[in-house]
Amino acid sequence: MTEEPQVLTLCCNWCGYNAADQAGAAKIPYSPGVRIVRLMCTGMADPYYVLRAFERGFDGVLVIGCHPGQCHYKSGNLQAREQTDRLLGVVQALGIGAERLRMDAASSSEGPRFAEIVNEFTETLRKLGPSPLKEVA
Amino acid sequence: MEALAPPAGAPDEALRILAQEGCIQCNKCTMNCPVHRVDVTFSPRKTILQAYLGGSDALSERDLWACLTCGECQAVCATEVPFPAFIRAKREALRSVRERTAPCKHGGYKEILAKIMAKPNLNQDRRGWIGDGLQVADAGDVIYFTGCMPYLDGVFTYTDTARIGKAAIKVMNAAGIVPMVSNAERCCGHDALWNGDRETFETLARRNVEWIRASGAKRLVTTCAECYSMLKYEYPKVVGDLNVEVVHMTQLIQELVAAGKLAFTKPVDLTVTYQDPCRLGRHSKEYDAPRAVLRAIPGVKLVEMDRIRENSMCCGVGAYANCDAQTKFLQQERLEEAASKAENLVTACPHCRIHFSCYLDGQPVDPLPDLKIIDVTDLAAQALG
Amino acid sequence: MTGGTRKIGVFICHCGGNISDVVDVNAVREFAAQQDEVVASTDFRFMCSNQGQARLQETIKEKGLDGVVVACCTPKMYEDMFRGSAKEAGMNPYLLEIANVREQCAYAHRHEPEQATEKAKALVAAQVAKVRNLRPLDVKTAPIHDGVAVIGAGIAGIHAALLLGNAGHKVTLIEKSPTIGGNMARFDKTFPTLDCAMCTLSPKMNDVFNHPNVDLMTYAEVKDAVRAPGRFTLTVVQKPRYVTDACIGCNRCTEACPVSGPKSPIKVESEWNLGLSPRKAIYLPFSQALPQQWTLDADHCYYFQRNHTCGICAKVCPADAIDFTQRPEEVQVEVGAVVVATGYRPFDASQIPQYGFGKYADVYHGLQVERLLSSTGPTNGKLLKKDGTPPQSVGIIHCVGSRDEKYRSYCSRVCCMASLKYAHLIRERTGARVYNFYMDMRANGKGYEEFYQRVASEQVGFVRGKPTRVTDQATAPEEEGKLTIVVEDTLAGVVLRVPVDMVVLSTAMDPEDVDGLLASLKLDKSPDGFVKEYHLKINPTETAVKGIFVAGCAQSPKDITDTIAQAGAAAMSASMFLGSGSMTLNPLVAEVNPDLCRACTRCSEVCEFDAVRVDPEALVAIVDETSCEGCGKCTVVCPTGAITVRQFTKTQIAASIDALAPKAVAP
Repeated sequence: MTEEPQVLTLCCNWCGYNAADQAGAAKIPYSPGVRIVRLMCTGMADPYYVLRAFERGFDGVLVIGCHPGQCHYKSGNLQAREQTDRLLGVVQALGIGAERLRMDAASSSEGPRFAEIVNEFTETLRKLGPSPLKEVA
Repeated sequence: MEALAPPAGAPDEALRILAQEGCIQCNKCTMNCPVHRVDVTFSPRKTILQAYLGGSDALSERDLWACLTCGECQAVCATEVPFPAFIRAKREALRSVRERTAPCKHGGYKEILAKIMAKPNLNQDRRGWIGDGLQVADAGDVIYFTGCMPYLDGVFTYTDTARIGKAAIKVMNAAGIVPMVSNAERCCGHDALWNGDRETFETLARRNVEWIRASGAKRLVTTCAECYSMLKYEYPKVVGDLNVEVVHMTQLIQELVAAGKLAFTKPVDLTVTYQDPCRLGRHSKEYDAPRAVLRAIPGVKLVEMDRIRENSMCCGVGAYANCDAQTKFLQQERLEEAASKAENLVTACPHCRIHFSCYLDGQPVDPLPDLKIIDVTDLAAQALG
Repeated sequence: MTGGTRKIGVFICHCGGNISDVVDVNAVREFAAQQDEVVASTDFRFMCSNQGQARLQETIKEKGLDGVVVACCTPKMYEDMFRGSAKEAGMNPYLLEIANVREQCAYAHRHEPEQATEKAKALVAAQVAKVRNLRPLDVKTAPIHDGVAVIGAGIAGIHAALLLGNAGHKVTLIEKSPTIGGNMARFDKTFPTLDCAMCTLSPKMNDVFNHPNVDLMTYAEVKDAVRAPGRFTLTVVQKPRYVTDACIGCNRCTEACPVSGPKSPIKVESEWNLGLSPRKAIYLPFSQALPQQWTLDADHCYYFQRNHTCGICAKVCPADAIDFTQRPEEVQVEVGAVVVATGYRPFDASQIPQYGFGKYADVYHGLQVERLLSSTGPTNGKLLKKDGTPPQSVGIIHCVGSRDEKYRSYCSRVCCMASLKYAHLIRERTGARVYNFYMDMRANGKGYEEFYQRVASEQVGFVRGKPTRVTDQATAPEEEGKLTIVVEDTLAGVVLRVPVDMVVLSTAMDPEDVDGLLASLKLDKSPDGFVKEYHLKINPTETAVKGIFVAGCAQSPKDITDTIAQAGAAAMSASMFLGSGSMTLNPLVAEVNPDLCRACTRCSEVCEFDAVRVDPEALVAIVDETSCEGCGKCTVVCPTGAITVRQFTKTQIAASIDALAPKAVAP
């Protein structure tokens, strides 16, 4: 069994999570390494979660919220975008690599887009190889 | 009950530390304790008494994390009872059993950073903040140890902490020093040690010592009071001799100016007052170097606060363990004192600067005059012209 | 690993094969049973069935569970139901979490059963870890004040107020003008039926005026609003009319008032007739205005402007109703719900100088034409040019300001039909030649296309093209003394110059200027400037603020038919909200640990719902649980971790992340 890149996916309750459900319901395959944690809004995605995920050995972290202007809470996704952008520098400096952290958007009906985002990200991670923070057994 | 029992069968290390010196219950510690001023139930004296009477387990988890470990109590103590060390040992005892119940938010961020930096296969790219025009090297006689500085601006949006690092390099360059800034560097482990996570601290210390020794450098400079106290005093206890001389940036500047290798040519017309960081002052007994630097800068007028040096008041947060509702009153108190003396508060620790700036960035308890928080190294760089 | 004290049950659903055909439910069940603090682990064919629910409830009771993970389909399906069952069985419902092993495992990874099973284990472990960190939550309720305020007494507000009053609610209808009726009261006829506007509106105005449950405040504006759970306290400024309710409506004051007379240095135009006629300083906006109570305009009154030199109105008043001592009064109105029906105003056509509005006497905007056509208007319903003669030809320009990126990018939705109505009425009343200059003809309502066909058959000209300008510069004899409309007929591909006597601009609808009101109600505007609804498609009458509803043109341009429909819907929504008596507060919102709060205000700065504020005395942030939506933005900016969202705390989320992390699932 080849090791699939392990992706922590922080999904907002209204768009990202529903899009994942749509992808599932439509039986659009994506990597089983994608692990979803449901937040109410990406606005509550604390930088701590991202760093903790890397510290615990995830190969990548995805934050998937509503499209800009479509946030269920008006602007939580915009705050998440700012946070994520700031964190990219931190993740890069730590040697984890900015490519391993990404924020994207999929509306609640965009199952195919969700699958596309996670598959593309998984592919990127596959090329990058395991996270340098992964403990070697 | 939220009392803290040491792991079953473990000797009460904390009590042993406390018992080394005999407390005479004079209460000077409590009367000088900043936490006691905002929370009368917090009393080092009472805690020590309870510990002597029945072991150290009566200390509540709340009090355990409320202590700033600033050392004001120890500084005024007739018998120098090492209360901060006692607290640290108690925190270690707790953390050997479980996580603390509610770490403060930024504490969580810094804690996870330290844990990441404790990982073996780290390939950091930690020099991105340096920018053009500043010279650093991959090797050399002088190491500039930057600690967690490259990561702070990722979350502390109200301070530009990298500014201190740039200033330090500028000053060193002006004196003909091209410091080594290493990508192999890790967090110094200060917060881990003071928050009871000795395992992470020791891992970080070992990983740092490895490249420091291998570098062949003769000196290691820090701009951070916490890094300084760790590398100078705590690392040797764990890993032995570092084979480098650890100096704080203010000590280096003082030395360079005295030797005529550095001259401040541009006046900086500011009235300033100086905050002794706990880790540089009481923990490391360095009170003079920062003041010497300030006096060496033309134009700077230093007006001292009433509580300085051994009696200096803490910035309100120690090791990101304990920022809470009471902290704001301490910060208001200290910043009012500073504002009554000068328009600028200078400190020699990036974390004092962060904590004070954080307070000013939010809404102060009472209106405060416009007060700027500046690092001493930053001032020195401004004086280079 | 130390054993904990929680008693957690895990229930794995087969979903009749949807899950169990892919995921090895036996393996997941055994895995779950080995997790710390899990005391029961079971699988079942359909957890959502009655038997499944019964098994859940029995196990809760039997084992005394204080935590449940159901591994099944998405929580969007049955989370509420399972929580309800758990509650019936005596467990706090907020100690139940769903592991989504159908959509996220069995469906998504159906070709990789082993991996799907491993992932299902991880998801179960993550939810067990989360549940371990959950604590029971109380559901709080707040009583809702039984009153409702309707702001704006145009057709939307009147209709909503009537329905709410009929439903037994205590309504306060607040109108800033001296009279109710709004823009519709200015209309002559309404499309497509050509009903007399006032004939349909006037009875409603009377009904609402006399309604025992409707408290009417005219010439009054909402200045501020304070929100508390289940209650809004509106500060309403009652502007002084200087005329008391002793007024008997005899009109003697108006007749005697010198303002706007031929020799009067103070002149003022009638707002009601949109500047087409003068009015006196003391006046009734129009004959059917309600209340029939005169209003004195102090800004244009000799008494106020010329040092008390006049006062003739008081002298002639037989009812002693003039009171020069009145001052603005602030009235507090407490309600449980608010309906915003603040309506629209016409786009200022002078912003498009090439159409000559304000420059040429006989260029009018649509609402002015309504007044010119109205029997209560300045010309008593006769369409006349400024020189007093009827026009021989009239050009009607559509989309003035609308569908134009320079002005208003939206379609104002009513102008096509209104333009057709003008065309019909002008032809009918004057026999003039009428030309419509349109971009696209949008006749998308019941009876609208038929109306278009009817007007099209009435020898009305239609030119598809947006006129570039209106000019009085003649280039040919037939243009002398006329206004020439220059336009490219885009169907024929030729540039036309059409000389007419009168130009009608079918102007865009702008939202009424209520920025101050929206700010005090904490309502947002959409990019087009209209009040932002909760959801454009499925919830167009609610707003992001619980208890505030929106109706009519305040929300978007719409015709009377749609306005009535939306006002009805808004009234229904408000009535249901009020009728519920109390609001259940979503417990999954922010809470503050006062021991940690620095009172730094960062939380209140990022909150989009005005749900958290820092108490300046207690120096602690306070969450209004009725307003908090639980998005958690505040939790990220809080420096100390004092503010958290319940069931989404850092400890809870981190526990899930740890459990999902690669090493946690390694065998």
